[in-house]
Amino acid sequence: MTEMTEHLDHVGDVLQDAWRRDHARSARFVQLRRPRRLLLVLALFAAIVCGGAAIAADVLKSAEDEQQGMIEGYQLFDGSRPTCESLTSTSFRCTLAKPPTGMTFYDEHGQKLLDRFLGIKAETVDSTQHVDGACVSIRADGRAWNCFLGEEAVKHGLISAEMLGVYRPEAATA
Amino acid sequence: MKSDAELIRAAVDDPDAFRVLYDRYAPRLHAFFTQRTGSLDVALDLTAETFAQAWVSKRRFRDEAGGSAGPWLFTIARRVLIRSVSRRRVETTMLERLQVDPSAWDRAEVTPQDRWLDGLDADLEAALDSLPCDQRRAVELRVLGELPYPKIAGVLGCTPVAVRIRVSRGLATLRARLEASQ
Repeated sequence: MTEMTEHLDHVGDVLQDAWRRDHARSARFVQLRRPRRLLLVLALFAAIVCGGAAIAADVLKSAEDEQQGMIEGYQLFDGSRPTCESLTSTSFRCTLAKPPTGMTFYDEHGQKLLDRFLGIKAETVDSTQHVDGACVSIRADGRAWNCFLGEEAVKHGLISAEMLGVYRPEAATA
Repeated sequence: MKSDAELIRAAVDDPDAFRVLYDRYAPRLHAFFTQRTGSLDVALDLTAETFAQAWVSKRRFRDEAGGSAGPWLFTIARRVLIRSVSRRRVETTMLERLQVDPSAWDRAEVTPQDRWLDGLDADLEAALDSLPCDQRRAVELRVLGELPYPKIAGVLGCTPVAVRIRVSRGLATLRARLEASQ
């Protein structure tokens, strides 16, 4: 066995331990989520029976789902811990606990620029990793974003109509 | 012997299945990164991050290459490399998310260089150019354009099943050519 093969084996052992821990954490998370899924089913049932109106998927997106949709839609939001509040059934205001880390701007001397995010756009995805809307930064430091679902995002010029529903299996990079 | 796709599906309930996939592909990915970066140690870090990202996104794996995970893993590897160069820092996002101890092995301390990407796209473009026209267009729309099959079928004027076949065959050919060049 060569030295590098031993190194690769060692890294494999370390990763395998990490995967086992992550799997155990995920199993606990699934158990915790089940009551919420039941609530969603009940809410859907009530809406169908009582409302009779067509249910748009975007109306059902919670602020928490939007936060996750930002992270999974664009690597820009890696580690930024967004918190969203619902403004209307198709819009959210999201603030980041930390500035975006997935996109870095540099000046001509190689120094980081921290204030170039105003107007930057980023798609969001739903729980099946299909594009379902988009966000736009409303502050130069990238800590506050307005997000819109579905056709609202198209109307605001954040995303093309063709992009809606596109499968995005991995978070987009800048 | 289980196919790569079977291992990835099994890994959803059994993390140890992913280790089999690692043992199968880590040497090839390490060779790819070593050729790109010129450093065995950097290649080790990038290989680890690639498998960390693959683990996190395993539920999104789509078997479009006859059961092989090669194209999927090398796509992730390319992104890890490109992202490392663009950020001027060897990518460790998913290793951190998985809480892998940074001292578990000696991490390379280097600044990624633009030259790591020299010829990277040329390899892919040459391989794409070598595909029959209908397969190339289907692969471009599916993999680069990320369009769903029904939309591609509309663009190409054929059925979604025909698109799947073209994408599958195209990816299998690309895999063979890119792995041969790596």
